[in-house]
Amino acid sequence: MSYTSSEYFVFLLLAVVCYYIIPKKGRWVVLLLASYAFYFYSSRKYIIFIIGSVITIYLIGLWLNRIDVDFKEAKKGLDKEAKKALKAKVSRKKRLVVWLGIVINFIPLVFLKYFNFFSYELTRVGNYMGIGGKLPIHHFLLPLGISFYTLAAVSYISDVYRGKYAATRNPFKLALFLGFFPHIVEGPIGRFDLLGEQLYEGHSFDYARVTQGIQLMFWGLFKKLVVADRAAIFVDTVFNDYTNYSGMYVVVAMLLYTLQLYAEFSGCMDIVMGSAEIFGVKLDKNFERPFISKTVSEFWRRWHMTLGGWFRDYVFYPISLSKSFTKFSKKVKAKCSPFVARILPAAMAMFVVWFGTGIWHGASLKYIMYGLYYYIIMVAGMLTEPLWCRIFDKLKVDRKGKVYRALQVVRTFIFVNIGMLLFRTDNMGSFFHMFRSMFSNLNLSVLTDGSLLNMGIDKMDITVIIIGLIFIIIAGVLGERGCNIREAVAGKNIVVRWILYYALVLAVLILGAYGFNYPDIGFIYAQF
Amino acid sequence: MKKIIVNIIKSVVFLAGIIAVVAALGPVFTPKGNTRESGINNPKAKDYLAEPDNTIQVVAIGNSDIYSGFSPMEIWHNYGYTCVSAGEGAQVIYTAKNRLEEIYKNQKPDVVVFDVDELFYGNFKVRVAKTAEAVFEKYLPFVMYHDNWKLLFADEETKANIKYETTYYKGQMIDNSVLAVDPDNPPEECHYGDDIPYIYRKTFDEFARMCKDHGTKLLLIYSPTYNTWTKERHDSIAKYAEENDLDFIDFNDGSTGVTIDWSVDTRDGGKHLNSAAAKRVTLVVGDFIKDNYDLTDNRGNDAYKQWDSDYERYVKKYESTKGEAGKQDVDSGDKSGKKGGRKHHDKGKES
Repeated sequence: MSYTSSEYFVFLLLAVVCYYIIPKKGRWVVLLLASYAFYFYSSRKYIIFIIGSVITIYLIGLWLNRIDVDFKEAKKGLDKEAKKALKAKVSRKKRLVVWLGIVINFIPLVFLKYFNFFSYELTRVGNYMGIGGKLPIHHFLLPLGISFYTLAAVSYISDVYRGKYAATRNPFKLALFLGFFPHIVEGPIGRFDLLGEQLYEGHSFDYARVTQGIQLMFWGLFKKLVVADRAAIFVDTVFNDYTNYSGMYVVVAMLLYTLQLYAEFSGCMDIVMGSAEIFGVKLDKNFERPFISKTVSEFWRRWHMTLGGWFRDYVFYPISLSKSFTKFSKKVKAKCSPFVARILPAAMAMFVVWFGTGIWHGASLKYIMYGLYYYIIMVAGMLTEPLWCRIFDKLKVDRKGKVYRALQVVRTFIFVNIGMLLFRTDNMGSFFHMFRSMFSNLNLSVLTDGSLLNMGIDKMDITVIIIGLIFIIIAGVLGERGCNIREAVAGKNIVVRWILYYALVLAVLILGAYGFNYPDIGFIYAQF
Repeated sequence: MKKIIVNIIKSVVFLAGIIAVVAALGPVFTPKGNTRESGINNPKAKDYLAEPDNTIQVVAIGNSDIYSGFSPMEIWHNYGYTCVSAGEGAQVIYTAKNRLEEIYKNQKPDVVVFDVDELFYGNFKVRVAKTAEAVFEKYLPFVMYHDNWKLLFADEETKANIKYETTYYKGQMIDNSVLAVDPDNPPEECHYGDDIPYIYRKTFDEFARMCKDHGTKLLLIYSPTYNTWTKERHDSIAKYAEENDLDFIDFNDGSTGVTIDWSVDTRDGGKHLNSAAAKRVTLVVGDFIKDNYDLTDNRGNDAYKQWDSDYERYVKKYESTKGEAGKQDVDSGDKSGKKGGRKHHDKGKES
């Protein structure tokens, strides 16, 4: 069930009505039932995987709790040494248990999502090495949101393991945390400590909050249906037939894909956050004006923030703060220059993060390279930083000045767009082909001679995309200046307010790229 | 309490305002012609909108099986009955009912030929979604035709083509090419059930009643199909026809004498008939109409001269596609469940 489909809005309406007519205490049950009805409707028998995930993390959580309780009991009366030995033993046991939980939860994801990739690549390597045979290829369907809820499940057991919070004793509450229907398809990837209580607390009907949720949903629909789905037509025309395009066609397609992905993914987040807000649930932000970033690291702190946050908290820190890694860092410090000692450990931990980020997006070499592309830029930035410092000092460049910062934003924008090109192409071969073709036959006249109007979208479509983009930029600028647009609008008199609301609703209804004239375009991140 | 009442009133007024605006914009956005430039959905199936009032004797309605497997021009040429097809890919009965209502606004057909294949189309989800879409089309045409705002800014050439225009193909997809069924990759079987689903049956009752009220004979046919016919489906329709005193011709049970060779009679690997097979099917239907219903033969009538020249164009197209190799997914009719996509202009490529 797509978040832009009419069936979703009917479903949401029914869920909202049921939620608010039930006594407060039981409202979370309505959310639970609605979420699993949503899941079953969209994914049928694959519901078994999320249920499996709920059961395993529930049991693992309780097991970790039990170990802690037993430890507290057992250490009573022990001397310091015995306590230390017991603690080490318990820590080992807890580590084993949490790893067991992680592995169990990752198995379905790895098997269903990556089996064919590894099967194909291993066969290739085998053939290259002269070992015959062919590993099987299966056509699995991915359970809805498996890449998202698996990460949420792992974050839960990891946090319980770290003692951030105690494991819940109610498996149904855990089931709601993983399967909450607004965030199951594309995230944001939730954290139990931030989301749990909000989900279980019965919220009162708040007219202002509900209407603001609906407004946010319409803003998301505007970005998705009016801007992203229109841009997608041009993008698909070029990328699906890339050998026949070059120069400005590829540049424009790349820029439009960046716009498409941002408008679509952030639009989806607005829809799901608006949906959740209607129930009184505040989901984590996933975007914060990423295109004003001065570096790619900053970009990733503003783009798909919950994924970045997950890799930071559950991959980067555990690696870089692990005992063996600390030992390694000390060794490097002792044997290498301070510069290398500072860079090397971070670079090694970052490799795992960016390899993981890449492969999380999909089982193919290009996604791995997509992750590593950002890794290389970041590491190159770290390595060349002293050099740049010296150059800029000599040239007396004001690195805090507006011009320098603007150039940094432009540089980051270019890097990000090249990354988007890699992200959208089918494979590395087509990426290199398209990248090269941008610089051959760079025919600027296509921008003015009407050639771009023959790419599946017409003059009116391009005008709508530009107007939509302007509105997105205005919203971004106002947001960056700390203006809460919804609250600002709410503060206006009813005439102004309603004119704006009507304008937004009618813009979606009239300008939306839906219906028989347009192809059905799903959400890109829903495939991950 | 007062605040709650005020909020409820505000919400109701706001929603009513939206509905009023959408309803008011409906006539503005509804197509003012049946050409592609008019912004109408499925222009090929809308020939009937352009035919002079009360001139159509036979109307064929159904899904892609009808626009592929039934030839209005063969009916004209062989029997002298004016005939149009209003077949649409993935049509559901509610859409068929909408079409019939539109047809009755200007026409008084003597016979409606209805292909029953669409009565079994889709699982529950698809049935509800497609029916809801058809309901929207009827009551809120704005939603379906929202994209016609572009016509306000269209160039003169496009504006000149916003008109009602008859066609020579009369709703048929004339394609005489051949793409045999691939035994290793035949069309997928799509059996969602053998009984007419409740939601369809209710609408079909209304459809049949509408025909009866207008004095139109409703002739049910089950076009030859590679993958959607079952004996049980035949029995369901036969029972319905008997209960409602309707005629029913099934081309799949061997009763008509029409045999389909799926290595030569299909244009797209078994999903749809080609025009040669359509001709054979149409002649059986034409014979049945001639033998059982009292229709006037209009051949030689000066008022219908245009139909003879349309037939010539039809033959030309029929002959020109003969011997061509067919293609998979030439159109995306109901067999694939996907609606026609974006109108793509000629692709601009680097020179």
